[in-house]
Amino acid sequence: MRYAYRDYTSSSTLPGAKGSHALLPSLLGCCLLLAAGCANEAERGPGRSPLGPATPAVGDPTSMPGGMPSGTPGPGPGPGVVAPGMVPVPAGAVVGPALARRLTNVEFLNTIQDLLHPQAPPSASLTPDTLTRGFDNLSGSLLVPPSTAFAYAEFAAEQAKSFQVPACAAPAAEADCAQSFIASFGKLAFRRPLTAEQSAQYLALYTDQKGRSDHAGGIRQVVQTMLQSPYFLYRYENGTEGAQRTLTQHEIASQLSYFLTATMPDSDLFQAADNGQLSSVEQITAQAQRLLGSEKAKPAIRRFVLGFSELLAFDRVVKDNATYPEFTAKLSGAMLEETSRFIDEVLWQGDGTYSTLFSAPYSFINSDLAPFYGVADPGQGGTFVKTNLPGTERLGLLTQASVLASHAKPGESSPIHRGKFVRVALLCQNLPAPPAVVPKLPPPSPNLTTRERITQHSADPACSGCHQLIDPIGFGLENYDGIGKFRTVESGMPVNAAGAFTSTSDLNGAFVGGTELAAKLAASREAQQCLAQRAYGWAFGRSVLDQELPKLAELLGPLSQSGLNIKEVMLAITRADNFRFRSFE
Amino acid sequence: MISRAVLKRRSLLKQLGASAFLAIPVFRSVIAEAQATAPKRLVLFHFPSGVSTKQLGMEETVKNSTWDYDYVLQGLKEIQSDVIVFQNMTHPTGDIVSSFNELEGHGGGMRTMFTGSTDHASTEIVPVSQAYGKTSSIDQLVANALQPTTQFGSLQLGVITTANGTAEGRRCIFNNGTHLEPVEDPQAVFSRLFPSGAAAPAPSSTMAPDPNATAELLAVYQQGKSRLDQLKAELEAVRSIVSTEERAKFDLHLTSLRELENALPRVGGSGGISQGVTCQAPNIGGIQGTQKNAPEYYSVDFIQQLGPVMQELAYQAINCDLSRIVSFQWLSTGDNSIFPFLGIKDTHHHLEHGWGGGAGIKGDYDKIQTWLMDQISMFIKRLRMTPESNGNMLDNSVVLVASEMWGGHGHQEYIGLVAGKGGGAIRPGRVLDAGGRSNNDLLVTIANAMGVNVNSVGDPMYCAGPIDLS
Repeated sequence: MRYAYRDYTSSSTLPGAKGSHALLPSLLGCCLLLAAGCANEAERGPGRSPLGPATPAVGDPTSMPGGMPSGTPGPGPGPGVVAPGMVPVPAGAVVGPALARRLTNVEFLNTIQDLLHPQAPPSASLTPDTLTRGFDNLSGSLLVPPSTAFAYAEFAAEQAKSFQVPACAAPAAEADCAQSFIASFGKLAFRRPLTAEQSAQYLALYTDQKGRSDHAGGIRQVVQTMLQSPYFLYRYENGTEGAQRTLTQHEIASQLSYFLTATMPDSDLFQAADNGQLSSVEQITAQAQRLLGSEKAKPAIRRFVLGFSELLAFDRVVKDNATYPEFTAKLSGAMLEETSRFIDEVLWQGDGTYSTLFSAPYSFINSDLAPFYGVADPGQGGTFVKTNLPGTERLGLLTQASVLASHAKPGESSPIHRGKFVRVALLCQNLPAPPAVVPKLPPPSPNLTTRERITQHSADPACSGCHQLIDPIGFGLENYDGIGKFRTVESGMPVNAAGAFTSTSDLNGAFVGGTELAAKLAASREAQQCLAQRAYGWAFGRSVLDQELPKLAELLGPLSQSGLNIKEVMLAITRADNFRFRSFE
Repeated sequence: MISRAVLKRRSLLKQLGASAFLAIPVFRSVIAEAQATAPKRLVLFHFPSGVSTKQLGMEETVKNSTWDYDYVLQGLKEIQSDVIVFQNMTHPTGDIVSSFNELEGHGGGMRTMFTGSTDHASTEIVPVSQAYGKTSSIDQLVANALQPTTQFGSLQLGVITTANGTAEGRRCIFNNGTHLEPVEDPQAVFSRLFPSGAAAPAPSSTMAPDPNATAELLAVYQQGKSRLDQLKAELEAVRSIVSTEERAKFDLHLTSLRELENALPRVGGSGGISQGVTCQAPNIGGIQGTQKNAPEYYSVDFIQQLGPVMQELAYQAINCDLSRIVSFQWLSTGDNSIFPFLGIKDTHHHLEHGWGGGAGIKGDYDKIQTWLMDQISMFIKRLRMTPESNGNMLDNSVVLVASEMWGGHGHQEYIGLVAGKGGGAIRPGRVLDAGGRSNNDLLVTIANAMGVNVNSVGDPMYCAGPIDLS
């Protein structure tokens, strides 16, 4: 089993965000309007990247001290020389800044698995990665504070201790054995060949420790060091030189493998990089095609969709026991499993489109979920069976229990959170911060529905500007209670699930209920573009930049006619300029 | 002279018995005997979600609240001559908290409680590396100024801060804008503080150096040192070739490696434990071997065992002079733990917001807050029971206990107290009306008491200078 799958439930934290959050029981009262700032429409588009635009600057081609890897084995290219297999940056390339991206916890454990093939699945006492906009791989949030450095050090010590040191023919050959081990293991660990200087440093490290212990001790010291090395822990994108840079072949290989398989490059990718065969768009896309056909792509792409749906911290969703006694660990576990299987089915068995993700009539049900959804028990206990759900109640991902339960409050639904989820997460629109003083929402009342209470509350002119952008969308999901169970009655009164979109490019208008909302999203080009923007951010560990949007739209252009195939989106991103080039300052 | 005996951890635990850490005797700190002046220590405690009012319906002021020796502070009643309880102290987040988008008072209170800073943005919008400006919490501000020579410049510990809350909900300790995660795995804390299993269990003057142990320790040190030297060189190399914007990541990572280096076992008097100090690695008993990822780690009753063990580790870190600056977080804001061992079935967070709803809910909530403060009281008493110089360790310490907010997301008043005399800078034993001054001024006062002369901490807009606590 890939650890990516296990780990998305065990090692993520809430982003301090969105309605999935148990911090927010009184958030219903949170007016999302800055009184002075939101009289008109929500800000459109993804907003500025927190990284800011990349301003070209003159790089220093000579300042590459020891450790600067080259695109090919052996000495790196001299100033002004582009290494074999590397194409110069074309004029007009639209690229973002060169980042140094620490591996996420999931990537770290996957990489350890592929590098060391330990007998027991690797696990480490790592600090959970921070989620930003639902995702765990935003470069700016991946740091190594002391606690993380300690965790890496402890993990490396454990791994080194149990490391099977390859046999060496004779004591006299030990230095040679060490040298070749450093070259071969180091290349895998660092995902690029070591420079001569790096090799020499590691040989010295080996020799030093061998003097205190023995050959195996020296090798273990090398392993223990490499597993904490910045060359192992970070993917940095330094490319060649100058203000506009071509990524090295091995940087492109890692970018492909972590993007599409959440782990280190496989042997084919290494070989392609070694041979300079990751230069053209066609070569890169061909490798991407291959990777998307591999088993490792499944958990990786699933994780992207889960992040997009703000479900990476679903295991932290807490409900009020008194209101929802049925929301047990078993049931919530089944909800997440349902969604995971559903995503896999759409992506790998179905047509793989955004539209299907949001409009498939089926899902995966076991005996725990059958009564929840009001369908016949498939009768196979914990086994999940592909099952059509009631067509008037459920349609695709948005109407699944996991998404609805995580975008709700512990003891009730939350039209505000759900509306905000749709507008911000699914449509990539930004909303201003709420005002400084937020009036409290009236407490649950036996005489009012949730909708009525919020309508009263949001009537405040200071709040209505933003609330009219989110509440009417969320009202359309009022047929689902705080854990996503379908209801037609709330507090003894009939539920009104009439909803409406305003301020969108192609969704405006009224709808009724979750299925109509889902159908609108499934057909929306704006919604599809949003997924593509998030995928782009996922690929590069940052927000898509304003100047990249036209190019991204161009790459996607013909795709959206067919409902936006998500794997095609991933392939399109591998054709983006940013897959091969960077700006650098 | 060997300052720490090499004892294998397992054999130590065997010797001490695996029953409970409480079996550990109180070890006398003799730092003061070796030094003319005892060092000052700063300890920060956070506990979540404030307090309730003494009676339902009362106006929410500290004066009316259970922040009182007859209520949640009952554990401190007998040592109130060592404590200052604050009333009428404001909180800069009171003005701005709601602009922290969805976190309302929770995240905002955490961010400002120990920093006094308002320089924050939501991590929902920007990466965590950019969300906190140049904020430093008071412990880090002091550590940066004093550059302690102890093995750990500062320690960040926590009890179940990650299990039941959010990432932002546990962020209260910052160094120059970087959030410092509390370590909450007792096993990890133990092995970092006591890498060779134990500190010297007997006064060094009576302990003959063991040459084999010395050699073993030296080898462990050298191996670790050469590994870290290599890693540091690599980080420097990478730092020099990444873009300007990315360098801060490697600066932080280099700082982290220095902490790792400080934690290497040392032989002799070059760093590490001061000669002559008697200290004791605690027996972490049943906690030993419990992995943070194990299901039982988050089991509801576990906090009863875990909390005291973590506090004991914090205490021994100070007693062994491994660090003089420690922060300790109990749970996180908006914490969803439940406390069945107190007979309570509802979540902490739910009770926090619901205590105004009835005597039963309020009773449950008060029970939890009292329990938490009882735990913290035990730590404070432990310092007080440790003789030092002419008095005790608490005399030379400043312990700041604070909560991030009141139950309604409000910051009507800062919920805080200070224990200890700060080496004579503070005269405790009173309830002090702060006259509406901001907690920024308290942080200034604490910095001054620790020997760091500043006039302003956090947002200068909220600073009027130190509060006279002498």
